[in-house]
Amino acid sequence: MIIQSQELMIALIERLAINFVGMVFRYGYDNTANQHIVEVQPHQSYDSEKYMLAEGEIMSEFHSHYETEGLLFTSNNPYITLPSIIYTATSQKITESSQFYHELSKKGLVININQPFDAQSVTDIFDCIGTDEGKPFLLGKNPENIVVLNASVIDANEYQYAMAA
Amino acid sequence: MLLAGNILSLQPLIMSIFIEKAVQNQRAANILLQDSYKCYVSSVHCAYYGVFQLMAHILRHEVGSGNYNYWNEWGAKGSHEQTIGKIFDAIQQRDKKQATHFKRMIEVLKNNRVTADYKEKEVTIEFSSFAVEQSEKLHSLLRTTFNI
Repeated sequence: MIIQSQELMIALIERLAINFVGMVFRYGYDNTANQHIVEVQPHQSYDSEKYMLAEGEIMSEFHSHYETEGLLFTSNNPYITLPSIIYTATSQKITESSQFYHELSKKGLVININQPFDAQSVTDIFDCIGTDEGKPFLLGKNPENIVVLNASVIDANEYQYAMAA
Repeated sequence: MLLAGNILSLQPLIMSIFIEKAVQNQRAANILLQDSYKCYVSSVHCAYYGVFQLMAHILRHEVGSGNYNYWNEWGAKGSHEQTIGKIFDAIQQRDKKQATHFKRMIEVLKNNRVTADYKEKEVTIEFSSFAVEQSEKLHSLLRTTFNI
């Protein structure tokens, strides 16, 4: 049960990382407290209304599946000891001038998704094409660079990705 | 007429038993912090259970009878998490941002309580004061949200 709930937690913090560019989510499980713990950075973003509402949705979703397990999102709290980190999810915005963009381009992993594209052709490059709350996303095949491009929050020259640590 | 009045007047008394327990624990949490006691571990314990008893009152009397069966299974593994989850759901229906505030604070306080009671870790006055402060905020949030 714990393993399954940990898998769900990883998927949920990845979702947060995709939607909140620049934030870092470090996740561990405290067995004594029966509690999944996520340390969130930066603290400023943790306290923003938009993020808090999204975190609330994640809490609801997790609780609907695992109602007998606790879930704590915390930030800069000296009275919470983080357990061993199981997973870190983070995201950042990149532009065409960034090194990461060039690396991805060489691998064929970056496409301009603000332009019309042929869904069949991109399945050669991406494992998954779908929508998340109405926003299209693409999940890259390269295991070293799990790439998510989220069309609704970027302009023609900007891309965002989430990378598994 | 007099009899009906007496029966009705008993109802608030019955309903407030958990509130009285919650208030006692909150008071104890503060007293145990004082220099004359310095019972920091017990203070954290009381701080958490004071909030838990307030949640018990809310679950039993404020958020509908559908939770009564669940109530009878209290003490089983995960029952505290279920309680927190049900209160969180109830707050979310009223104010989503406030629900996130609540969940963050109660999970922190629960973690503090587990640390104080079960972990081989020193409990300082700062740690205990933080837990009591969290519990006071939670009392205030719950009482305001559920108009208690």
